[in-house]
Amino acid sequence: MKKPGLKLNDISRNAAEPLTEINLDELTPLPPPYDKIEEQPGFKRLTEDQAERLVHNLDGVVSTAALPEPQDKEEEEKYVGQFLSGMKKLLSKENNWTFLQPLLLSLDYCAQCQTCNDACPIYLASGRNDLYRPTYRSEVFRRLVEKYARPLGRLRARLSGDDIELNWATVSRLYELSYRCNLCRRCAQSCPMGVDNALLTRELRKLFSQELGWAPKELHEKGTVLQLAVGSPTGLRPDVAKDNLQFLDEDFSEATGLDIHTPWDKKGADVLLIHSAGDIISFPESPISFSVICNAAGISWTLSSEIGGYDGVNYGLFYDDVQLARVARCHAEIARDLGVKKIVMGECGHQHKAFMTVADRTLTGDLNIPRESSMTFLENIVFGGKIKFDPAKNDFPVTLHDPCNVVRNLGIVEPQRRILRYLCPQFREMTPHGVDNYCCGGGGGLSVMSDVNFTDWKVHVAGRMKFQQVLAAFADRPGPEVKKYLCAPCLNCKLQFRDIFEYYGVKEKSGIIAGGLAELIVNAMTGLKKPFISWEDPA
Amino acid sequence: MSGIGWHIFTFSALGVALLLLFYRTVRLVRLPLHLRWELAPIPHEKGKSRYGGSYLEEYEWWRHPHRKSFFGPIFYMAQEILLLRAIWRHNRGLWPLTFALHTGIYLIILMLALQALNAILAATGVPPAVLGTFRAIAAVLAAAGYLLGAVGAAGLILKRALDADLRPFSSVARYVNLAFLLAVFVSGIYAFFTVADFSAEVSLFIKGLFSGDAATGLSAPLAAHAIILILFALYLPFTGMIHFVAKYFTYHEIRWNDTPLDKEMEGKLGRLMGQPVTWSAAHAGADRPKSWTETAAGEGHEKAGS
Amino acid sequence: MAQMELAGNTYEVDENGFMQETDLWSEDVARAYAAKENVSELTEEHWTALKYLRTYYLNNGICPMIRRLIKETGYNLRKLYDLFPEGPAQSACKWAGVPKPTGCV
Repeated sequence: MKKPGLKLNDISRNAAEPLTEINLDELTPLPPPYDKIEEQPGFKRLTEDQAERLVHNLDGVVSTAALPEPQDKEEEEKYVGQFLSGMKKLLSKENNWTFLQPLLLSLDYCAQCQTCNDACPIYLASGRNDLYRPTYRSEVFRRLVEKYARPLGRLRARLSGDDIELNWATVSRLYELSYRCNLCRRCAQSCPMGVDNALLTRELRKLFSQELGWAPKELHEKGTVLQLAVGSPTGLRPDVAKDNLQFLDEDFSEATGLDIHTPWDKKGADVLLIHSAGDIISFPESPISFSVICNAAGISWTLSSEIGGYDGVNYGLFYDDVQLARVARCHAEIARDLGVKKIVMGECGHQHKAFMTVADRTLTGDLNIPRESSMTFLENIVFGGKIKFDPAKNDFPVTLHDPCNVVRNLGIVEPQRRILRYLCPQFREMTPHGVDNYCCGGGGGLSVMSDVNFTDWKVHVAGRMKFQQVLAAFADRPGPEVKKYLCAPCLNCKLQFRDIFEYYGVKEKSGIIAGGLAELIVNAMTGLKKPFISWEDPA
Repeated sequence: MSGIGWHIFTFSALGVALLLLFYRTVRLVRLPLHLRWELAPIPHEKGKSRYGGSYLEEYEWWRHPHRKSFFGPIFYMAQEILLLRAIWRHNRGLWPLTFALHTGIYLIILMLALQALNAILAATGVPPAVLGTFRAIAAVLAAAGYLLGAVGAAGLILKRALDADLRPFSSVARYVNLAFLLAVFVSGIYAFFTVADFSAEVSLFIKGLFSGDAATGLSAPLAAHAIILILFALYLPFTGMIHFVAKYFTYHEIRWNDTPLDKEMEGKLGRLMGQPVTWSAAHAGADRPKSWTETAAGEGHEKAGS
Repeated sequence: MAQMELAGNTYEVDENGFMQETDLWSEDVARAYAAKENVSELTEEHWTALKYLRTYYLNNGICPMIRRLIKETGYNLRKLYDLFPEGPAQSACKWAGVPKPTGCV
């Protein structure tokens, strides 16, 4: 249960006891027909065996099963020591020039006014659980930095009573707590000082990853490392990627009556398009839609089957600068070697942010190839006149989810809306929307993390505000008999929606499906045998 | 204090304060170039800042010059500085008190500036009637400033101590800063309502400071206020209250820093990327000394630890 | 690493119950997994799907996409959910002794 008045230095006490527990009746209520808690899937607790083996001292949720538990005092001191050495490196120019100025400013200028908390969807959804305040995590980190990395820190901490003990409890809880944030940056938007709690969260994750080697396996070992080794965190190898897309080309050509062909490795093409490879496996309508659209518009384009060339994800954005740079450079090198004029981001939010802005300054020399969003790319095609559309084919309620990394972080707001206003007669906005949107709950890498009982936390807590928004956007036609489309131009967001919808039976109870933007465009094209978008299961 | 005691005290305190402020500002300026971390809405985006759009919405954005608004950021910062815009929008309950505090500070600064101007003009033979008007305005600014500031500072101390949201996070430093500010305003109120002609005395004092007049002095209440105020000015640059400088960086250098990679940056990046990286995790490859570039470019296709 | 008793032996599994050493799989393991989900008998149709899934994984290092599974087996999604209670991704992959898919899938 929610611990009333959780104190900052509670984080260092009672290493084995969770600081809080998630109970569905303490979360903000959902609207009908999802309001009855007895009808909702319960919150998955750890089994007895898991509770014995796994570190779960934060909130009974485990993101990283492999988090090592120290066997003796010596091992505990080793981890504490590594945390401190990591902290010093984080504050040094040589090791952290990439984010030193933003980090120091966010550490030093917080006025502790608590304005940011009410902007945080996780804090609100949790029923205002103190543990999930952006400021809780940041202030603990801040005080540790003050105490251990600033002159007379220990003395000042003891005198001021702002002391936080650095021990195993603190280190392990800070680690897990850094994965209870979507990095959505709504807190940063509301801060009068310009302090950025999401940045502090990411710096914490980076400290753990780059110094202690701790990171969720879905992000690192089976994430960036796997991507650099075989081509994609999904494990999709180049030959399998090509084979799969060939199968899809044929399968969809049959279904649509169009002649769909996806080009690979065309040197000198104008455009290198990089999808999130997971779409090929889980949302194949998306890459196929791009193939249909690009070919119909006569674009000179290609995919790449080089390792790293067909998967635009860059999980390093979430937790690690070294991996961020490696993946970004890998993508840029492939584009350079193909001799394309520009790289277009697929419908993947964090790919946009990692490749177009954050890692931009790591792509020096001939790696600095122009990079564009699929939103502007598609807008140019839709209004370019080469393809004929009939918006009446999209005559069902459509709302738009704004992926944080495309909209709030890059300011790409209108192009996708212009498309939707044109092609979807029943398009309606969520509230709030645009740069004020709520995160889907899968941001910051959480979408691909599903170990132990983490999915339950993602679905019930992180995604709750978004779920409320989606239902509210369709409140005028809520029943399952009205087929409704949640347009989410980002694979991680679609995955999160898939998880939420599965948990709550949303397709059956409310008739809502989630999909990308490209599918809506194809669905409106004249000349298709039958609708491209289907609310039925694939047969 | 007598003789040139006031001069020594005032100018040395203010001198140290300015030097420290300058030093802390320079340290912020000299922090290395960082990776982009911008955040919409960015007010310099011409024609788009209403909804938070950026130049990245333009088709093939690199082919056009980036159309920036000059007044957009200025208007935004004016709202932020004078009207506490972010607090108004996102934390309305806190706004009255923090607005009172900040406006109080601004009015006192304005009052002192006006008095300084008055002192300079007096030496140039401006008619006494004009000077008298300035002093009258300064008096109004002083009264309003001290009263508003005191209400703001006292109110914020109470709010931090009583509000369940604020109390756990309000470190001792916060209370010390607010208490010091309160002392400035309260001593100002006391001085204002006890001395014969507040504005005239302040005016005379400042003139004396500028002219080096050894007869410069203040009545006891004003002397107390002046000492507290000058000590506060000395204390200020040691604290986070210099957020008025830091905010230039958090906004302009980070949130609104959306400049794509250019030749000037590449020069700086070359030096930064050549520095040694000593992170310990296996994948960061600190088994031997490596530069940032080597770390980022080297083991692209190897498995961690190999 | 967690452990699970299947068909009389103990195997290393991840926290969602997926086998970590796929080479140790046997048809008995599949039956044991199925029994845990209250499927007492594996029919011809179960084996068609499981064999296709496992072979595809061993050749390609990744589970086949749903569309492919549907096309190759001739079973639509409803039928797959009838055969495998938690669905093809959760149940079928698990019973076939194949690791849980990673990344954005």
